[in-house]
Amino acid sequence: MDLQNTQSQMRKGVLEFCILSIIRQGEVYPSDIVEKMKGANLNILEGTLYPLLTRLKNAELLTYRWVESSSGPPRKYFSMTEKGLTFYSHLEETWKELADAVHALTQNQNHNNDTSTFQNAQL
Amino acid sequence: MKKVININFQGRIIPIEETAYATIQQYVESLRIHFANEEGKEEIISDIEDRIAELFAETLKKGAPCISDTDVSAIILSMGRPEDFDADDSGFADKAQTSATADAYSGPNFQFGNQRKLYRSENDKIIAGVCSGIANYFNIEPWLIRILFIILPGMSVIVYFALWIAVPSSASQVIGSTRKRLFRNPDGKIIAGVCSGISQYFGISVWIPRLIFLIPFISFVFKWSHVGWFSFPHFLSLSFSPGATIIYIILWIVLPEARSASEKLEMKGEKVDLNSIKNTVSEDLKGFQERLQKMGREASEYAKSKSQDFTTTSSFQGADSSLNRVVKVIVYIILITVYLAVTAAAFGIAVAATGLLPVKDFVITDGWQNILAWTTLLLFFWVPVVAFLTAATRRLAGKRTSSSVKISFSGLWTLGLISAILLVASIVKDFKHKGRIEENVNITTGAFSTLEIKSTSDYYSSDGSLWLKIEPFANNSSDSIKLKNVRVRVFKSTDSLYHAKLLKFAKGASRAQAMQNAGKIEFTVEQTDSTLKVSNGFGLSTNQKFRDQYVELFIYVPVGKRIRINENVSHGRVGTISLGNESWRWNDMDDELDYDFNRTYEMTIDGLKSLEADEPNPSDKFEEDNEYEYRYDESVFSNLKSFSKSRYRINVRPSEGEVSRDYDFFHITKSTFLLSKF
Repeated sequence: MDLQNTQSQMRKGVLEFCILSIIRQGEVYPSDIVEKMKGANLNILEGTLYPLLTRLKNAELLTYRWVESSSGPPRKYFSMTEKGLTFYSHLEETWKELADAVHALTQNQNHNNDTSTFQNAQL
Repeated sequence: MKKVININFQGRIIPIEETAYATIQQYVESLRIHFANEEGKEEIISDIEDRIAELFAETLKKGAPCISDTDVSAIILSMGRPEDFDADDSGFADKAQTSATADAYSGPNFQFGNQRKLYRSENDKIIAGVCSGIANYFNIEPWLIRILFIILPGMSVIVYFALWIAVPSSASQVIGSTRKRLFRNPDGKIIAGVCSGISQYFGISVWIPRLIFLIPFISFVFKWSHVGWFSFPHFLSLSFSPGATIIYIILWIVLPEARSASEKLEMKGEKVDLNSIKNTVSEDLKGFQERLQKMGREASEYAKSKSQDFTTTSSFQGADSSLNRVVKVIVYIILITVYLAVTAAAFGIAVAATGLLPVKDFVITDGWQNILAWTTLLLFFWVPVVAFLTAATRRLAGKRTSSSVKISFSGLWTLGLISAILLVASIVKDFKHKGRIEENVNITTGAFSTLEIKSTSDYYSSDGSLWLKIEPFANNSSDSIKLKNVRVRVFKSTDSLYHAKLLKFAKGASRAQAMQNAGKIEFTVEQTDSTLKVSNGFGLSTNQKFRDQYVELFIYVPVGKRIRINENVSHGRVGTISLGNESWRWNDMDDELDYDFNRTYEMTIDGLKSLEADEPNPSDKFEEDNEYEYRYDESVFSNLKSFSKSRYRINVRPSEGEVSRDYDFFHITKSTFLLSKF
């Protein structure tokens, strides 16, 4: 079993959820998303972010508008659509269920460090 | 010392070191390749380029005089390289799934929507890396492909050179491709920019491809206006008419439009002319010589080392998995061959169906039958060809054919199939009922002893230049065709006079219509003394339609009188389809006439009797050894009315102990046959 592969699979599942949750809070510029993720100790490459945003936009979960900038050409700011909001609430529900389930399961096995497990799983 | 250039990057003027510029170009190109199959690829690339430009601008704002190599490296690091994406890629869950299933399923991998692209391998090449690239593409050992190329001589050389020129080198992924790509040019378009794109690609004036694509229309104008000055070159109209429009449509579907500035640059890019091809080829060849020498050295070393410690176990294992791959490659090749054969067959059928167009007006009534005929031709016959070619071209271009395209093609074809069925059904209905009209022809029985039946003129000779000919439609002049469905039958007259009767047959949707169709046949019989002049076939106009019309002329000959029928009078219901040099002929008359042409017969109480001896046909000469003269007892053949045909087959039963034999025989005189071994 490849550890790296398993880890990246785990991350993949939650990445979209995290990005959507950032955008839900208000209109953002993609590099702000990267900064916020970095602040939460979650690293994402910009080269990965752009295709993901495009896919979410094509799925009509996101929309964008051009905002004039003081220097240089206008920039794309992303915000969430109605469809995106429902999508997000479903994801949120699933995440809670999953987190509880994972929490319950891992806690049963690791009595020693029960509190830290949940936090690690989130990352 | 480094050269700094100014570039206009996504709307910003950026001073950048030349080497840094090359690096960023490479990087964007590698992204382009990575996202080649992604929906919204252009948008992603443009977003990333925007961001890079922004980061450049920020760097410059901080006071840097220009963008340096280190700046670019830092930016690329933060954006991530394509190889980092795969580990970090999110959201593309189905991609992860497919790769997982592909891993689990180790059998032959026939996914046609493969994401891979064919490149000539730079790293593992012998001549130009074609074989190695193919092997890489199919994920098998290169030497297997090399062996395949060697054991399939002739064709493989052409294929190799074609791939050498057409397939980009893997180096283009790394170095940053300045290779030209074929795009549709939206700036210089009339319909879809195909011609303009081609002209950019080959660096020629735009009117050249336009003229080539326009040839069918030009030829149409020539034909239509009947300009007598000079006729349009036949070969051009043949080779281009059906093709050009279809090729245009396929290119329209397959080629991307050059939208972004970088694509427009790529479109105009480095010239792909003979010189650049020659350069690539000569460079590759130089390397080939070196690699051969190196291989020779390696091979001898390898042989030496192997002879020392040869172990069977490991090589067995290798052989097993490579056997698997050999099977894989063979199956691939068979699949491709079948695909090509099916495409070629579909094309042939479609061309043949198009060749039937001139016939259409003589069979099909106007209105909805006509519409059905056109939809059948276009949708039922041509859509599969276009679909096959599109799929193949897209596959070669490394794109998957989307399901919507597949659905629309199969939808169109189903529509074509339905109209084909309706068309056939309605045509069959038009031929359902048979009608017959009888007319008496007055003949005077004069002092002559022989009535000779002649045609008014020699029958037409059909146009020899046509590739596809279908008689009786071969000689149509677009508003009329001539049928030669005429047969003359001879009967014994009940009195001492000659009589004649004309029967006209035709088919139709109803009995009344069939009779009407039969009535429209214009066929004349005229007598001058002892000659009966008969129409040389009969014409049909487009509003008369072909409904299997035919004419029978019954001649009643009194006993003791004679008759002679010229060859070109009676044909029976004849049809010929000839395709190039091949031809298929049918005639429903051969077996039922009891007379030969150009021979005088006398009517006896027993029927017609020939008055002339047969001249043996020079083409039917037999070898001396096999000839026998045989005298026969006339009573044996008394049940035969006459011995008019020149050639028969008989079975001779010899006396006991000898083998029975079939013989061909000629009737020479009244009591002699010339036999020959069959």
